[in-house]
Amino acid sequence: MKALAQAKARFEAYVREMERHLQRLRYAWTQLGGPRPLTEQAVSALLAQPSQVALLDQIVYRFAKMQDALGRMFRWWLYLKGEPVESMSMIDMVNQAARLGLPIDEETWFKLRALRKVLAHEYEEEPASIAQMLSQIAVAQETLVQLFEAMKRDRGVSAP
Amino acid sequence: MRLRAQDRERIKQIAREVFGPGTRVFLLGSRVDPHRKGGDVDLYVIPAVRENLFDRKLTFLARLKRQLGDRKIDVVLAEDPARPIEQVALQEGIEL
Repeated sequence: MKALAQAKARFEAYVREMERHLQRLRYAWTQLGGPRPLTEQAVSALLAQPSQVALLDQIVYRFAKMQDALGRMFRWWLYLKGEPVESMSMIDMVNQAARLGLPIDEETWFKLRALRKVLAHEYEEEPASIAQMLSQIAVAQETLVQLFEAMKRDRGVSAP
Repeated sequence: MRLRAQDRERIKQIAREVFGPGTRVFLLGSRVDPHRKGGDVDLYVIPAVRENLFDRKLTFLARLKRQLGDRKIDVVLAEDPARPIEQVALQEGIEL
């Protein structure tokens, strides 16, 4: 039962990590009066103020960290449900999680991953592009929070 | 061209679903970018519809990944044909 206890401990550690990222993320959004769609003009105004740029950076950073933590938490959640995660592809995991009642589907998952990749590897400079990116983060954040809350509600163990 | 005919058709079809009919798609070779590896899919897209482009780009990437498997896919959207990357794409890319 040692492995099970360790798995539970890992899962709970990710719950705490998620809560920290979410708290910081929500703080940054609140400072910008959101989460809400920002216009190109609003973003241009933000970019002129270093303290506001720091908030934008905080949103991107915390969102990315939260998404990574959620991905790991998701594996442990499935493991604790008795799923053979070592031999499952990402698609298998997403589909199985959906069958077990989590609010996720393949296209949403791949879209979240595409956003993560863009945030990591691309650098947006144009206010219009930044505004669109922030809108996507706001939408994706809501999806991640729903998923997080569902995993927390249903964190029971089903004999791995 | 490394992609199967069937994959090329799928890419074209998904691009038109996401960016509207009349969207043009070019496949770029790895020689276009020295950092690319074989097996990567590099696409240049001239979208017919330009609203919410960022959202459309993510949807496009998500659907491609589902259809083509989890290979590395990069998409450059047309913004300004004077940009060097777009010049190269238009000259050396193969239109699908």
